[in-house]
Amino acid sequence: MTIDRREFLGRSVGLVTISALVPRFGIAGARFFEESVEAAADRVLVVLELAGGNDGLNTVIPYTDALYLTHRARIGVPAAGVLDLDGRLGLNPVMGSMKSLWDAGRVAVVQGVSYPSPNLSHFTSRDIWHTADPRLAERRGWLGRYADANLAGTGNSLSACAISQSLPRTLLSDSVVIPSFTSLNAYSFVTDGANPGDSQNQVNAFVSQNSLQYETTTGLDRVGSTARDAQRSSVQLRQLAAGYTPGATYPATSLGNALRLCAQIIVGGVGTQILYVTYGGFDNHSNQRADHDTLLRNVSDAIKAFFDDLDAKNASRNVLMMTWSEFGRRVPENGSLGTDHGTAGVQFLIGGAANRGIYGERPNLAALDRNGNLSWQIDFRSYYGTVLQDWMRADAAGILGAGYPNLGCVNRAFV
Amino acid sequence: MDPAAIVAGKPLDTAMDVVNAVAERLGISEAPAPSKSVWERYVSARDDGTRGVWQNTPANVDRKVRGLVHLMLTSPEFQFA
Repeated sequence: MTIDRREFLGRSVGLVTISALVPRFGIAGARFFEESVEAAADRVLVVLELAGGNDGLNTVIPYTDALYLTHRARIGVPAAGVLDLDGRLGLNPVMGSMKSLWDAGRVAVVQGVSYPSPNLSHFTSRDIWHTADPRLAERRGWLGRYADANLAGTGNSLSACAISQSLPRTLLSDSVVIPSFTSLNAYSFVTDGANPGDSQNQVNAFVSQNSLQYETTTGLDRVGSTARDAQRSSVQLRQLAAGYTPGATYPATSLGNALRLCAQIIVGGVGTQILYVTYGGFDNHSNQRADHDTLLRNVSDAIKAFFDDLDAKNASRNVLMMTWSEFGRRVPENGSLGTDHGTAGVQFLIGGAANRGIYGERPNLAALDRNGNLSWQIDFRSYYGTVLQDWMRADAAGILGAGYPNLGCVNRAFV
Repeated sequence: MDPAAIVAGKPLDTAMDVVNAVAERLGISEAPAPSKSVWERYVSARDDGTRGVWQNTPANVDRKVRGLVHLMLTSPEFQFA
């Protein structure tokens, strides 16, 4: 599907163009605000994308299945170090932080997640997960569709945010413009630094030029109002950041920084319902064991710090985190001590509302497909739908289509 | 950025001259009058925000052309140009 420049700019992603032209200014914003008292308004969903195709089998390990180390003689995780979950499956030994969250009853593990005829291309499969549409006929993201139905018209320019260089397609919406930024300092209108004395004049002129009245049919009004909202929200975020002291020590990683920023926004209480974070590097075709272990440790430690921080601020109760990755990895290791693109993967739901447990059957390593891949068990739209229905209190069928069973992994009565 | 080069050869006698010169270089010379008026006020503004009178000096060209480029690039008019 092609989108011309005018249409592109008329929709939410258009503002990324401004960001690209004027570095460090992630233009964004939503539309005219009125009080929203949606049932889910005080609930926050944090989406963590593990980009590259996370290897589920070395994350949640079927350590009692002898076939596991048969397939993975060199990169498999020995049973002795595995952090047991249910007597048959266990977490990678580097995920002690995640294990402590599991022990506290705050983790649901969803196994075998994929979709019919899984696509092994990073780009295509990511688009499928972003849109929740394996046909790729849907342009908007699945949470973009949620935003269109539930966040449009709230006027809160921070109702959803991506801690990202650009807007992930998951959040692409028709009627809500969602900001994306990697730090609060980066989310601002950047004046020319050569003449600091003139900076405030530039900011004032920026606000003025984007406050002009245009004919609504031209699209100019939309760009202007979005830029103006972005300026307003950037000031709001900066105020939040100024007085924030984390209640936990975050790992010094990009993910740690991103989740710290999420915590700042949540604790700031600006009405953000969706936060999106991308953490990459999971395409481990070679030397997987060391690289993947590092990634898993970073993920596990950052998530634990995030919830510790929120706990310390008494702000964790209304937060649910969900992970996703575009596919799992092939079961047999390859010749480069890595794994190639596979199909079904494992996902985590973390938070007080997660019904602790393992959803989906243990991976059947004796019944791989002809490419050495696991059979998938749970359609990812069931995973999404459960979150939409039981956490966001949204019309999951309206957003995703009907026919995707609820997994029961979210405690609907929580909060 | 070389601000002097951007407006080289253009008349810069008034603040609106400066606006028109930069707008032409960025392909938005047809920007509506209200937008140009905002930019004109910016060019005329002193550092304390009060309105001054544009004077064509190398220092002023450097200062205000830089700012104008930032402003125009983030304007709705430029995005739709």
